[in-house]
Parts: sequence; C-alpha cells; structure tokens
Amino acid sequence: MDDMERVNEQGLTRRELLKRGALTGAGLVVAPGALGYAVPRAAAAAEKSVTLTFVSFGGAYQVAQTKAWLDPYMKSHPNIKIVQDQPVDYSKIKAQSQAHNVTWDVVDVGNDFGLERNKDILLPIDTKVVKNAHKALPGVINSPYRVADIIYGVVMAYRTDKMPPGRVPRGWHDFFDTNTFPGKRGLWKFVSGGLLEFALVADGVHPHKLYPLDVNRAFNKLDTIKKAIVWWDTGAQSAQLLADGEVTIGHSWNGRIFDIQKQGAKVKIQWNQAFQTQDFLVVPKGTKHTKEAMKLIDYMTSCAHSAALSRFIAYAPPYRCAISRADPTKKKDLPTTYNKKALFFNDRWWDKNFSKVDKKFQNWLQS
Amino acid sequence: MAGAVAVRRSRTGLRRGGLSVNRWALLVLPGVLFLLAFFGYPLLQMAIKSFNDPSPANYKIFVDSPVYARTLETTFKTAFIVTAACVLLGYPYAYVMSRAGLRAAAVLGFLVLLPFWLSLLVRTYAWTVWLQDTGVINTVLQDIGITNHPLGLIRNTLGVTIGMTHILLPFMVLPIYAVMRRIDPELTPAAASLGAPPFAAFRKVFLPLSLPGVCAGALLVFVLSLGFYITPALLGSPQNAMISELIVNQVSEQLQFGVGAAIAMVLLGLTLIVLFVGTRFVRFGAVTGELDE
Repeated sequence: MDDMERVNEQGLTRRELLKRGALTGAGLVVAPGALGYAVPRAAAAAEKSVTLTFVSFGGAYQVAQTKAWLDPYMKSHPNIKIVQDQPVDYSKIKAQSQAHNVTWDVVDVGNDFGLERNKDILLPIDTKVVKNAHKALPGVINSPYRVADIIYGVVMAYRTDKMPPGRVPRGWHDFFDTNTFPGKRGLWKFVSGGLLEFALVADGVHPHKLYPLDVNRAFNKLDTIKKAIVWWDTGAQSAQLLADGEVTIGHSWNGRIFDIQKQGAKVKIQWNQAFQTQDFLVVPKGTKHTKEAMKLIDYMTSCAHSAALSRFIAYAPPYRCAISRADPTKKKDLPTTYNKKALFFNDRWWDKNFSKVDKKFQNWLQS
Repeated sequence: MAGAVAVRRSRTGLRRGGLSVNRWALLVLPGVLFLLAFFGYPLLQMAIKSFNDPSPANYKIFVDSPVYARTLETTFKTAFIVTAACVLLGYPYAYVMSRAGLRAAAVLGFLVLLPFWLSLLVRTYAWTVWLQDTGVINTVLQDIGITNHPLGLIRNTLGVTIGMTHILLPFMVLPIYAVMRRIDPELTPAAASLGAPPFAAFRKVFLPLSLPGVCAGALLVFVLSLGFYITPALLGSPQNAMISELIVNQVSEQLQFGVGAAIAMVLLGLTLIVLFVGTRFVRFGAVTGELDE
C-alpha cells in the first residue's frame, strides 16, 4: 500500500497504472553522490563526468535492474552517475522531446512503444555501439529505435484450489470456458495487452496465424465472458485479484505471479500458449547524452550482462548468447524455458492499428 | 421573519467585506499571479493545443464515436448521484455537529476531516478490500448465512458511489455546518412556541435557512466529482468510466495530446456552465460570511 501511495504522490497517470512494476518495492532514486567512488583527480578529469537518467516501471523490476546493471555499471564507469526516475510514461517522453527539454536519457518501455509510430520522439539506436541490436532471439521485434532488454511471459494463471477436481486450464480455450472452470476472469484493460489474441486462440484461430487480427471475431468471443471479466489496470492488481480469489483464472505477467507464489498464494502459471513479449530500451530524441546512453544500453544488452537480471527477478535475457548464463535456479520460472509452447505478439501490426482498434475497444467496453 | 433576519445579517456581512476590499486588495495579488502563471497559462496553452495540435478536427471525436458523449453523460450522472448521497449523509451530520457542544463538534469535525490525511488511492484501495466478492463485508455476510452468493458491491455504480461519497463528504459537511452554526438556535423553539409541531418548525424555519449551505456544498461536490478518475476506475466497471479516463487514454496511450485537450476543454466548458447556473442559486456570501463574525 505504501507504494500505491507513492504513485499517487507523483500524480497518477494511466501509464503508471498500467505497468507491472509500478506498484511494489522500495524507493529507488539513487541519490547523487550516494555512491562514494574514489577516483583519482587526474583520471576523472580525463573523462568528463556525466549524469544519466534511467527510467523504468519501478517496483521489484527496477530494483533488479539497479542491482544487475546500473550499480555494477557505475562501479566500472566511475565517470558515469546514473540517477533514476519512475514510472515510465510515454506521454512524458513525447512532451519532453517536443519541448526540447529532455531529462530522461534511457527509458525502459513495453512492446507497444518504440516502432514507427514513435519515431519522431526517439533517437535511432547506434548499432555500432549497441552490438547486440540485431542479435535478438526469434520473436523479438527490435526496431531502429529500440533494443530488447528482457523477455517476460504474458500468461494465464489459475487458483489451484478453485479448479474442478483433476482439471486445470490447458490453454486460452479453457480461459473462456466458464462452465467447466467457473469463476471470474482477470483481464488487462488495455487493447494491445493480449485480450484479442487470447480470444482468437480460444476461438480456434491458428496461434501462429493470428495476424492480421480478426478484431470483430475477437470481440464476439470476448462477449461470451464479458460478465465474468474483472478488469485490471496494474500488474499489482492482476496478481492481487488471484491472490484474493476474486478471479479463479487471470491474465498476468510471469514476474507478478512469481512474486505472489513466493508469498504462498495457491496460484500456478499455465505456460502452454503463454505469450512471450519483451521490454525495450529507448533514447528520447533531444537527450544531451546520446553517446553515454548508447554505451549503457550496450552494457545492459550485452552477452556478458544481459542475463544478470535473472538473478533478481524471473525475467529472461533476449539474446541467445546470454540465455545460457541465466540464473539456473529460476529455470522453471523463466519464459524462455517454454519457448516451444510460446506464442508471440506482432508489435508491428499493433503499431499500425493500435489507434483504430483501441477506439473499437473503448466502445465495446461500454456497450 | 426569520428569513429576513438571516438576509439582513448576511448583507451586513457582505457590506463589511466590501468596505475593506480596497485596503487589502493588494494581498490577493500573489495568489492571483500564482494562479495565472501556473494554472491560467497552462490552461490557455491547452486550449490552443486543442485547436492546433493538429487541427480543430480534434473536437470531431465527439461526433465520430458515441463513446465520448456517453461517457460525459455517465460522468454527470455519477456526479449527480454522488452529490445526492453526500447531501443525504452530510446534512444530518452537519446538523448534529452544529447543535453539539464545542468539544463534540470538534471531534465530529476531526472525524470528517480525517480522510483528507490519507491519499486518495489508499482510501480507494481500502474500499476494494471491504467491498470485493472476497472482501470483508461479503465474507461476513456469507459466514453468518445472510447470503450464499457475494453481493455486487464493487465494479458497479454502488461501489463508485460509496468510494466517491467517502472522499467528497467533507466538502458537503463543512459548508452546511458553516451555515447551520449561524442559524439562531432560538428560532426553532420560537416556532414551536407559536404552535408549530417539531417537523413543521424544522421544515419551515431551519431547513430554508440552511439551504444556502446545502447548495454551496452540492455545487462543490458536483464540480469536484466531474474530474474523478481513479476511484471510478478501481471501484466501478468500464460502464462507470468517467471522462477523465478517456482523456488519459488519449494522452498517455494514444499520445494524441490535441484530442485529450479537446475533451478536457469540453469538460471544462460544461463545468463552467454548471458553475454559472449553480452560482445563481448559491449565495457564497452565506457560507464565507461566516468568517466575518
């Protein structure tokens, strides 16, 4: 509840509500000068000291990013100081860039950001510096403006104690079958968050031939469970609904479920037909620290360091050369372990169609 | 007779305020400048944006999609319901407060102000803990066998009304209390001594005198309700979405700042109309005149 309050103090926006990390964990801002590094004057003078601002979704996720990447990076690059902000809000990137007053240098964004639609407000990634930019795993949609930093699972999770005897939901078809699996269903109230894809898979569309989405068919399928849907706006809510038993099956993100499982919730993930998606790093157009920002991104996405995050949270590295370095103790919790069962979103289709389909969604929600 | 007393009183109150205006007018300057710089100017910018980012066609969204007009309607309907609920709860509360001893009034006032000290999001979240299907109320009701299915207390208009009323109640209680305290406590006994039964004395004497407070509180609550976002989002269903949710959708998800600004301008315009009509019925002097005494 503390963290919810903090979010409120910062002025609540939709984005803050939307993302998985925004509502948990400790305060994060690394105070300038908090890391008392001792650098000989001569060496410090040789490389100008630069303060970078890193922005992410907060919570356990940003804590993990700090421990896995930012702290070690500052240690090995004494001239770089990284301060942090949270949570990410795309409208702030746009506002900063348009006002030519950019204070965010490296921003962690979801799969719905950083393609053609946003090219006016982002810098192209310097692929000479960011060496893995073209080496992401299959299914990862990098663009000239973004590079993936994590893979996570968009999953269905269910209450093990509220399933009919001897049965568990095996895929999205069962998510929509409220007769066999009674109870309410948690879904993210965000049109490109997965709900249309879930509906189409449940309705029998071949999971690898989802796009272009048959939007009307998806809404018709969603109509069949509309009364059973409990909408959520934040990742914290998605997990809380399951932990409380408000829903018996819910759409969530694997890191969130991992969290409540650790706290003892009787909740399990069905990895079959889980969607695999990514977060990405972007650099707002207008930053004064392009070179340093690209170098930091290169570090976070490198073969050597990309997997370090998995030691702190159940998210996987998006690069083949890093997969083998992922934390072996989290193997069963990492989305990449279930690659063969995984489905993928088509971020490019969404990039072109988001606005139109979202209008339909807003209308459908209220009808 | 009683009405005349009150009117005369509030008039003197106003006149007294009016006389001193010239001398103290300068004191208002910092506040005015602050508002102009940090509210007026951004508001103007937003108004401009609604027409030129990219074009006045931003306003066409109300024609293109039925969602926006419908959501405006929901917004006003919700504001009306919440205002009514606040009057029903706030009026008796303020009455007791105004008739209680000083210490009791202080305690009641403290209780009504208490929610101000908690963040809105925390209070709203706390309500979900009480109202949801597996929440405190439904669990207790099912445990003692009053119902075997959870009652629908959340994700509907009831949930929204409960949450918003809780947050806005102080804005109703305080203006009503301010007016009630200034009503001469001898008036009702006087009416009774002339043969009025208690209810008639209340209805014909006390109630009309207290109405300015009710109107002021209702106007405050109504206007504040129009801008609510987080409470209806958490305690209501998509059918209860307020217009602010669609503004956020345009700004943060669609990144259409101009369209968001256009919706906001329409909301502002409608709110100003409510204020304009409302202030014809509300003598704010009757509320703020309290300070002169």
